[in-house]
Formats: sequence, C-alpha cells, structure tokens
Amino acid sequence: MKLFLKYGITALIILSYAQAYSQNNTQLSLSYRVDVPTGAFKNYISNTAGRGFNAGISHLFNNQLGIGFNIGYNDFYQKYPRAVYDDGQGNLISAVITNSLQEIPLQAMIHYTLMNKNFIRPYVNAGAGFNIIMYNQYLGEFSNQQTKTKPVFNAGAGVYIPVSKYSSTSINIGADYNYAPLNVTGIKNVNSISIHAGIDFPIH
Amino acid sequence: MKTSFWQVALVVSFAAAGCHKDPLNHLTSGETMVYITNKDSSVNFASYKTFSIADSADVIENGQLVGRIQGAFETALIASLDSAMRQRGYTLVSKSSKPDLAITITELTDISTGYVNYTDYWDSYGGYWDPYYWGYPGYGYYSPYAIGIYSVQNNSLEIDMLDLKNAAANGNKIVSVWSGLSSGELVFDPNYAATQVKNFLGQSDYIKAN
Repeated sequence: MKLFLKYGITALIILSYAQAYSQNNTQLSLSYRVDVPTGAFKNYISNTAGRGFNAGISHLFNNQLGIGFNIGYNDFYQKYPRAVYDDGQGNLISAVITNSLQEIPLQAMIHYTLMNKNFIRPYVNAGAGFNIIMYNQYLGEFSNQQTKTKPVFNAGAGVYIPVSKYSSTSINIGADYNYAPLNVTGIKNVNSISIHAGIDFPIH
Repeated sequence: MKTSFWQVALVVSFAAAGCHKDPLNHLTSGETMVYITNKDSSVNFASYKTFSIADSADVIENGQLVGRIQGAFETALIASLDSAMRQRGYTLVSKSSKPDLAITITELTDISTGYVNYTDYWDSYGGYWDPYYWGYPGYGYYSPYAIGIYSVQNNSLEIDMLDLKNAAANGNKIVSVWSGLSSGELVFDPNYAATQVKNFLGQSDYIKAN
C-alpha cells in the first residue's frame, strides 16, 4: 500500500505536468480493468483479477495519433486448500497457501485510431515502461512480502464509441497482452491478457 | 463541462486505495495453522512398541525455560497423543517401565518489543487540545513521556519423540527421532488439540508399530 501511494503520487505529479504543458488536445482515460493470467503465471495464480484500473493521459497530435502516459493496477489473489508440501530438506509442511500479487505498471503509451471518420473508431496501442510487482506468499498466517521492479511491455486494440455525435467524450473498450517478466522462486513472468472498459474525455 | 485533472486524480486515488484483497481477512482460524514435521530418516518406527508421554509441557519464553504447565490445553493434547499412538499399535506404559519412545511437549513463546518516539506528536499537543478547553488559557503542555511501547508475541507448539530404547547403543545419547512444530491462531486452544495431533500424525504415516 505504501509503495502504491509513493509511486502513485509520483505518477500523478508527472501526469499533471504533462497535462499543464499540453494545454490543448489533452485527453484523460479512466477504465476498469480485468486481468487473466497466462503462461507460467497461472502456476502461481490462475484466478482472474478483477480489482484493477487504468488511468492515462495523452496528447492528441491529430484525429489519429496520441502519445501519453498510463498507470495501471491490479490485485491477483488465490487461496489453495490445505495440503502437505515437501521442502526438499526433510521437512513436511502442512499449510493453507495464499498467493497475493499486486502490480503497478507505469508506461509510456502510443495509440493510433483507425477509420477515424467512422462513428465507432477502432484503435491499436502499444506501451513500454516499468512494473512495480509486490508479491506475497502466505503459509497460514505467516507471510513473506517481496517487491521487484521490472520492465513491462504491452500491445492491444480496442474501440472508441463517442457518447454522442457531437461529443469528444468516448467510451473506450479494449484488450491488451501484457508481457511482464519476473524470475523469482515460484514465479516465472506475470504475463496477462487485460480487458478494459472506461471513458476517455478532454480535460483542462 | 471540462473536468479538472485533479478532480479526477483524487477520485482515482481513493478508489485505488481500497482495491486490495487482504489474505489475512480471508482465513478461518484453522486455516492460519501451519504444521511442520521432520524425522530421522534412518529410523524404523516399527521397531518401537511402547511409549510414555510427559505429564506436563515445558514453557520456553525467548529461549529461556520459565516453568512447566498442565492446564486444559496440555491435558487435551496428552489425551489426543495417547489415543493416536495407541491407534497406531503402540502401548502406553509409565516412564519407570522403560518405554521405547518418550514424547515431550514444549510451548514456545517469543516476545519482541519495540518503542515508538512520540516527541513530534507531543511538541504539537497544544494544537490538538488547546489548554483553554480545560480552563487554562495561555498555559502550555509538558510531557516527560514521549515513548510508546509495543510488543508482539509469537506462539509455537513443539512435540518431540525421543528414542529411549537405543540410548545406550547411541553412545548414551537420547536421540530425537521425530519432531512436530505448529503455529497459528489456535495453537494453544484446548478445543483444537485433537486436530493438531491429527494433522501431525496425518503427515507422518511411517509412525506405526507394525
């Protein structure tokens, strides 16, 4: 939580300067986000994470191209029923294991709108930055929290649906593949497919 | 209407602050318990036939023996151990009858303490509670105490099985051939003693007399 506040406040300060500098054609994007673990991440947590969000700000160069910055968040959680584990050192451990992982990707983003003359406008996007990963494995009530910062990359697509014919506010629905490397005991990469739905609107 | 960036940032921050599922809030008391067992891999537990259990538990606090206890929890634990060992084919005998195995119980408590320096808090106390409130306008505050003390207690249960049968052959040494360690919310709960024994011996199928 402390790390989230620390990095979140830093990101907000950066976003506010970007917004102030941009002055015109600045768009804020807020969306609810669901992440589905993929690949080896499913060996640690296979449950879909539904406590996520994206918040981004971008400068629109024209009707198609926008460049900006995005902060994301999601909270992964999975509890396994009591089982006996061999630690390989002669000990057998019976415990209810709970795996908990939060990630905060902070990324530079680019998005390009296709068919921008249509009412519903598809877009593609890509991003790169770094990912703050807080992971914790509980044996019963005993935990061992660790934090790592690693690079993260994503690419995706979606659609903008304006709320009305004359409005510059749009509903934004899309999906991304997130490549988030991590290599620690028990967790190999935290890649996921994320689906988001939210709203994009101009700000001053 | 255009929206202010800071209006949106404030809403997002508050929403994000609540978006974490705390694992500790989703565990039952039984699920907090962890059991660890270890054995001497060279030992054949079928070679033992009789056992005896200590009638009370040692209490060790921060590495020091502080006494022995025989309360409700210890009584329940000893009864559960007795029953479980008999079910596995062992015979309970008194300690004077030269049992093959001795079972001991130890309750471990580690207490760590720390302090918090509240100097900054007390320096500004007049800003929180103006002495005018108490009928002493213009007075100041003085506190000789700026320290808060806290302590954290961690409890564990250890059960050991000791080889008395081969003590002489082992060079006059009583060797521990099996240990079980548990910790969690219910570790000293008398109503949970039988469940703890069931878990300990449930992951130790090799403990049987035949």
